Amino acid sequence: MTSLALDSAATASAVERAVAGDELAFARIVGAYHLDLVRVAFVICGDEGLAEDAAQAAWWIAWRKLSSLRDPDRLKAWLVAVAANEARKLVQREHRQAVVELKIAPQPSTGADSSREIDHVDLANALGHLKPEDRVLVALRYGANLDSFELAPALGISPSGVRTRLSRLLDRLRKELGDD
Amino acid sequence: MTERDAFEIRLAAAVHGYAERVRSDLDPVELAHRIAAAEPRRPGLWGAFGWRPAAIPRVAWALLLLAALLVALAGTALVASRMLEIVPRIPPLGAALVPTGIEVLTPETGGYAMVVADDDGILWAREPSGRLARFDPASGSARAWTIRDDAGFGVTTSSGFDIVPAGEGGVWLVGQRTLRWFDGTDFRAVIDAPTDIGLAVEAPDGSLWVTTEPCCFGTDGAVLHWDGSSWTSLAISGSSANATVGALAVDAAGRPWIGWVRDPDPASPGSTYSGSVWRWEGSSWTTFDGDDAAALGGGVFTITQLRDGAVWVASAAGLARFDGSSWIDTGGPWSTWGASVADGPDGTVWVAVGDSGDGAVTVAHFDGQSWVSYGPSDGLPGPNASGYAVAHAVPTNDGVYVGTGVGIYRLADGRWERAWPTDSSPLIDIGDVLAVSRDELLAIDREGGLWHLQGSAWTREFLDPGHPDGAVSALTLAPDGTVWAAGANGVGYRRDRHWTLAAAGAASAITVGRNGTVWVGGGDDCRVWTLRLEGTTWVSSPIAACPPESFGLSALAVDASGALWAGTAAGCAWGMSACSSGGLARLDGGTWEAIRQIGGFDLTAAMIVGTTPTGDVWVLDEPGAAPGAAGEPAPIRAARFDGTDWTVVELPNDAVSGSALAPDGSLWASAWWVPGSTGGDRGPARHDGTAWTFPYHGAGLPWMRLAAIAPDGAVFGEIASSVFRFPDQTPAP
Repeated sequence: MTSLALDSAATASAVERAVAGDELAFARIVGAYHLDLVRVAFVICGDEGLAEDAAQAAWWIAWRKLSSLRDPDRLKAWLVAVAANEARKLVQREHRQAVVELKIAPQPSTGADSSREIDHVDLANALGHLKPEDRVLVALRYGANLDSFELAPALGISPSGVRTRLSRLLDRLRKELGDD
Repeated sequence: MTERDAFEIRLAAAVHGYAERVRSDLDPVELAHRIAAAEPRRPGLWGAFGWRPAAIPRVAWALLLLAALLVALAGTALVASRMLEIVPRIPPLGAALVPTGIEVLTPETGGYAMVVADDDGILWAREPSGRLARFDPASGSARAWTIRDDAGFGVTTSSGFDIVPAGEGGVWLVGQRTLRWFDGTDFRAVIDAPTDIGLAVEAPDGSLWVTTEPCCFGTDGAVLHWDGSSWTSLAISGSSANATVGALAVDAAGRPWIGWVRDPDPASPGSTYSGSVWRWEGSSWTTFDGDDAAALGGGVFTITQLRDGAVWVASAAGLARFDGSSWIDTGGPWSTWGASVADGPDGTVWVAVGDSGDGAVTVAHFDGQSWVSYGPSDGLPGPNASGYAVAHAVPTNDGVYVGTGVGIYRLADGRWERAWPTDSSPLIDIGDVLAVSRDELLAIDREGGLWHLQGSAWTREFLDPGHPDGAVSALTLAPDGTVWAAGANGVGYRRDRHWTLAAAGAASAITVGRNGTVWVGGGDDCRVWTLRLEGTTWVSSPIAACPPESFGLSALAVDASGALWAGTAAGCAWGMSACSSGGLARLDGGTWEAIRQIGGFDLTAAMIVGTTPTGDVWVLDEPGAAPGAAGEPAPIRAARFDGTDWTVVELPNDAVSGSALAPDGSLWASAWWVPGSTGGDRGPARHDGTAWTFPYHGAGLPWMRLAAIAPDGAVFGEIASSVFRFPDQTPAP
């Protein structure tokens, strides 16, 4: 599917109408953000099927709780956080961290300093060694580009706490990926 | 977080690149419709609540207010305590969802993610694609339901439900916030939980215990108890950071047990998951850990009390048994996740382990004295055979079974063999379906392979057993009930479970007239001929070449007057002046008449639906609107020719994925509406002569393709590699 971006006004309108029960408005939100949700979930699960499940589960929650979203501009951050939490739950429920088969093709070189690029197989392995909660942080920070102020409410910690946790995580990934 | 070093920039780029290779073919309109239909907005203030506060009695409201006051007074002391606290009473749903009764006729080919046995010895399996399967070891029969796709089950995702044995037979389907007791026909109870459910189990007294998922990062979970009328909770807050409940069980005395899984300590290299076991004593928890038995120190995923009263715990560190006073480490090769423990009718113990590393399955049997292990060399799935590390031992009166990621295996004469799914099942996409009766149909897969379903058993069949590679193109049911097929090796019929080739030569279309004449069309030189039985020999008679400028024949029909109708295929061939988009022609006096207009409208992509028992011909014209296409498509029309006049009806939707004729001659079509259009209802629709109705409105599966209707009225649908049978009666919306 192709994501159909929504601008700020369209997002606010779609959220308002979806809260009121407009199914097509909700579909528009789904169309705009579903791929973001799947990709964030994939970083956490490492499995496309589980990622799709997590994203779809997140939409059920979104439908129920959309009325609790006070600032429509935070819609994407809220949605990807919900999807990340669903992905984390699925990983724990399936007990599958150790059995996820890596189906990653060698990544094509971009031609620019390819020796410094992080290989996707290495990345997948490094993610697999992280706790699901830390994978959530990686996914939301680098997969969804949320900053510490957006991450803080999603993780239930302060922005400075996010930065501290992220710093430790980066140190660990540096070692995992042989960058130290 | 404003500055990034080079590593962080490269990490961000790598995460982006890693995630961007993931695609999704989700239809957002479809999903939105499914969700909105299942959970319609409620008007007014209470519509914002996931549960119904208005349904809560005043007494409960008073208790809620009292609880809030206590929380305010006691502060954190109450949170840290282990007292029983009252949570809002959530009554069973007043209007419970009901399963639609849609049956899945094709076995899952991707294996199982979970298998349990109910008290009747029936095996239930959750399939990765979102199905629920029921297997009866005594009879060998199986049935499957579509769960994710069937709104009647109210389950949101394929992985999002667990199956838990119910004490009086059947299983609990544990969804995100709802537990449904399903007996194979109906939901006998539907219970909402006040928060997301983690694990669930039915206690010996019939009450339910569940663990809750941590709600919102950092919030601890709880253990909830449903006594049949209300929920109460045992606080487990403050137990440990970074820990989840991995196992839940209730012993014969009604005491809940939970097993903990604690994350590795990131500060300790080589640290692994650790665990412990808690037992509720009525007012506090008794804890057991690695000091009591080494196995209790690993992440705990299984707690089971067997009939002799012993409690078995399986963890990442091993297997331990509690005899009521002390723990015993049993050792053995099962120090991994995903073990199950069960006792058989003879009291012996069976342990099954789905290896978390390579998918191999190990089963071990303890007769009270020693262990006997079985592995891949004994017929169990070997390394990499299973994508799901699942293995559940299920000893029954009919033998010992183990559910694995690749099916249910049975121990017979010292070796394990797969009992379900059977090896014969359509493994690739299904094309045409011909329904003979409610219990029998034939199907052609995308490779032209011929399949026969009788009851729940699929069998691969061959029109010409001497040439098994010959693809079958078309099926038809003769008025006398005989099934005919046409394909690359010729034309034949099925009688007494055997196919007989009546004529050689490739054919792509076939129909049988009311007088028994078999009409055949196609072949490299594209022609039409008849087959007529003279004595014991089928005699072929040439009739005509195919309609001019046609790429080939897609369908044939004979009307009440005996005239032949041909649907021509779309495509290009050498020598054609232009590519054919497919069309309709009628053979009149040895000459083909191209039908380009019906009832005042031009045909653009007409196809033959079929012939009614009275000889009326139905055609359908869908002018280029495919599901998913953008924009407002032109109307789709169907027309019925009674030998003299056309009756034209307009379909209610934007696209049609399948069509068929019912025994009474009425037209059925599976209707879609294109995302973005105003749309209408979806799903199988029936035209009763004056208007369209949706007999299965609310049954879910609106995107299912209508595949066939049997002479007894049974309606069949199809999606990709799955065939479904709709229930006889119209389900409740």
